[in-house]
Amino acid sequence: MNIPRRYWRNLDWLLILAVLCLTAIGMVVIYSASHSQLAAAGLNPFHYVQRQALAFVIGLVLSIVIISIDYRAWKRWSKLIYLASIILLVGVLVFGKSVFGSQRWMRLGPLSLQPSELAKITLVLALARFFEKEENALSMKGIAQAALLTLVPMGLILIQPDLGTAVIFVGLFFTMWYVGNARLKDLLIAGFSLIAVGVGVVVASLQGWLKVIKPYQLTRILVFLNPYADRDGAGWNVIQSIIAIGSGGFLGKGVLGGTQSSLHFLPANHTDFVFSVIAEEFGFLGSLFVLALFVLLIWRGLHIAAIAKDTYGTLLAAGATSIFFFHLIINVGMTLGIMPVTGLPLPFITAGGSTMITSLMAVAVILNVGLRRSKIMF
Amino acid sequence: MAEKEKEKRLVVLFLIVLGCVSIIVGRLWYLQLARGEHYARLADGNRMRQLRLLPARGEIRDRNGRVLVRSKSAFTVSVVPGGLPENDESIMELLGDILGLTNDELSEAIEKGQGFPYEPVRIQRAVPPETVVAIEENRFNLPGIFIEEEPVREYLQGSLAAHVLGYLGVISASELQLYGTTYRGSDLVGKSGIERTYEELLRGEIGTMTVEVNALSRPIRTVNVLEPVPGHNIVLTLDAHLQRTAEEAFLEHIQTLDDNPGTQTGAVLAMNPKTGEILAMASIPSYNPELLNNQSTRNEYYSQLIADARLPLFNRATQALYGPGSTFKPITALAILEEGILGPKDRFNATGVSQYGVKDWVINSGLAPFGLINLNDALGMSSNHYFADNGAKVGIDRLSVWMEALGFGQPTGLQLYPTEASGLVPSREWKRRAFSDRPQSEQNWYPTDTEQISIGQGFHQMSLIQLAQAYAAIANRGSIFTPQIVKEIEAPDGTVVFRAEPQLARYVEAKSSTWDALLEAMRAPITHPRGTARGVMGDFPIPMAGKTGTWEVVGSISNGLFVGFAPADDPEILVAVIVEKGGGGSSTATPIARKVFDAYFGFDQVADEE
Repeated sequence: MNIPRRYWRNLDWLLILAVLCLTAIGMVVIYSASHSQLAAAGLNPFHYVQRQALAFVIGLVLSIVIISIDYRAWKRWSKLIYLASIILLVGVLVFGKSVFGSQRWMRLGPLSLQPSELAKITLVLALARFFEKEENALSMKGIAQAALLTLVPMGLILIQPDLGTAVIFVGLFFTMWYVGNARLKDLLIAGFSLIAVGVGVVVASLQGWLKVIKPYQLTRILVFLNPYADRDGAGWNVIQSIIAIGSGGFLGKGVLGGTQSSLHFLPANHTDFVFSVIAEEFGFLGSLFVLALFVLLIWRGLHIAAIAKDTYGTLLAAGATSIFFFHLIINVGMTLGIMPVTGLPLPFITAGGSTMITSLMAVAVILNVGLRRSKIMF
Repeated sequence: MAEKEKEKRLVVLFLIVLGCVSIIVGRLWYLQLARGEHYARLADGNRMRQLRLLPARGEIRDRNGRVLVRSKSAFTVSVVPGGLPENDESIMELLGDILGLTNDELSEAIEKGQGFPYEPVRIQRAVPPETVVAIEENRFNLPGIFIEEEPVREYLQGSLAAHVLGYLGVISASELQLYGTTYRGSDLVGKSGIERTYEELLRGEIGTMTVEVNALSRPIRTVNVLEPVPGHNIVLTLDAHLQRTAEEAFLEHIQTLDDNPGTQTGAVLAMNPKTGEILAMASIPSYNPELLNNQSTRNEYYSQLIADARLPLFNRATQALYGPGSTFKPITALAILEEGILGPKDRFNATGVSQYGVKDWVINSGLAPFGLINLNDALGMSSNHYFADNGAKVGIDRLSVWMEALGFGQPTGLQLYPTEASGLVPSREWKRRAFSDRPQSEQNWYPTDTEQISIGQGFHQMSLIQLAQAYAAIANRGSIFTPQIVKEIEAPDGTVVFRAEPQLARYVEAKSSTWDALLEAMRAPITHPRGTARGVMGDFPIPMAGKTGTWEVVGSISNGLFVGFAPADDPEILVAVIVEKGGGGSSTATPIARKVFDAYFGFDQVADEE
């Protein structure tokens, strides 16, 4: 690998530190949330922790590979990569296995792969390539093409169905369009019309005029509006999550001390509701620390976007960074009862191989851009 | 794109990020700091269950220490309504299969006991071990279902003394208010008899066990245990053998009656007149308390008892009011002697028909009139003419004073639920009020009314226990002791916290010679050649005093009575028997009383099988 020495000095160590801290916290919380249940089932209590560590190692190797290739070289492959991800998304619908009613996973040897996770990165690549030309962000035709680029994978993901990830695609599109120098007026019009359409679809579904949204998704939306409407059913998760978080208080109940989590009142405690465990066991202080790490990560990502050598790099870094932002807001918001329940993971912390690997890949994309910036900062 | 614009847009993005994160921090602040304690309580409510540890209910024993009722440990299946996932039919179906209940029965049981969402509601008591195993095996499919250890009541002697012992039933709303906070909606409480009267002592003190449970309601760890304190044991004054004799004698004898209309109802009471201790109290027909306690039989059995025209739940020894018939004559005699109408040896010419038409039985039977008779003859042969004429001379005003002095018209003070009936002492005043809606002529008191009272066929109404108490006054030469059914109350550690002492309820003032005469005269029904009880009691080896009676019911078969005590000079036992609609007292009630006396003095020859 031919990387000049100065490039390594350009590596953003703060960003790396944030990622390492989050991963470490994630492992502790995963252990805390899953060990008793695993032990009760006669399994290795470190099962999820070990898998998380394995995914981290795989992600690390992939990241080094990604970092070592100059991001500008990706442009050539960007169409191919985009096409490949579309094929994977179609593949998962045809061959994938269904978990909790949605087809998201695909088995690749010992690993379960979630193509929708990967598709976020490939969309960032594709949109960066597209919005690199400023006129694309300004012309009606360009915007329509970018929207199409987003809608194809998004549509495939909606079919799975995975509403949360699809929402991230919308977020990605708007972020990158904005960074690609969109006219504010266009952006606002598009944004408001999207909100109008979204609300329209939900209302129409509630009235029974439309059958696009699946019943369970509708329930989740209703539950979001009032979790106590279905106290023991769909609202249970949110209520138990809020109880877990609230009962954590300022300092929390201590590692392994979360009663909501260890007694299984809190469902999906090592995956979707992992933040509730953090808030229960580490309290307000611990939650703030985790949030601060994410803010650090996002700050460094946006900083790299700002100092990138070219617009393509800026778009790549900003897009990859926004993935973390949207995940953070949607996942944590869900545990706090201020966002609807979706199956979105919390990057680096939620137990899950695909999430860990693709999150590290996104970090690699950001670092790559940072490595190959024009100015040397010190 | 201009470098400046690019940077500006990225700063805007970062500000948006900070804004969103601030909202999250604000929400965290609200949940964890502002409302932290509230949610901490909710989390504890989630994981902590206060299980009630039910104490073993106290035993009930007879005076000789024989256990009549005890508690044995058993398992109860309960549901924690708050721990049930809503709209999950599968749990109820599975539970219904295991317990053999329909869905409706299950939901009814749950609804009935529902008070607090995390309070277990009992579904089935005393389940067999197989059920416990089946539920434990399906633990993961039955969240919210609990198995609790809870003692159940065992009535070792079946229906023996049912009216004294009483039975348990599910607590009612008013009882829940009466007994206070330690009771819950599906608890069993005493509904009658000793079980009810001494509910709070028998029950003991509830313990609590605080356990931590997981989301499946499975206890993980015991946090705190407060052991329950067993209930007090109650030792009754009853003698189980005598009680059984009384009940069986009644049922056996009633079969032999020719004129048996099939009602087969009545009561037997045996007590120690010198202390007020009740030795036997039988009310026929009886019931089986265990069938009322048992959840699976309770409803059907209860409706069956309620539908029975013979009123099996009714305690005929205390709650029923009867006319005394000739058993009232000793009371009239007391008044005649004390009011100086006639001396005990004074002769009275019993021609057979009184001034106002009361006839002696000999007249009705076409026999010769009694002729010149004294008090002994009059009581022994039960002369209506003697008591009607002389009672009328006493007059109703004095007669009612004597009745009141003997305790008629008022509760005897027996501590036993249901409350005894007070009865009625007729007087001029009473008749005026009772017939106030009738013409004046029917409100007036006439000498014939007094005559009827004097021979026990008047307006008076009394309970069997009141009649027994009046006889006790004669037996004790004036003293009446409050009837007692509880001999001792024993704390769970065995120390006696209450021991019954004879309590003088009332003292009837009369001349010593009057008591002498009365006690002698009351021997006559047994000893007199033509004594009404001679046939049955004549060969009794111990001197006995007593009187037969027949309450004539117009248009129906008479009630037969006998009240007596022995030994006549130093009474230990007083027996009162009423056989409803069985005919005359000599042939119906007296033979039953004989068996009770025999059993008391050990003449029954029948080995006690228990």
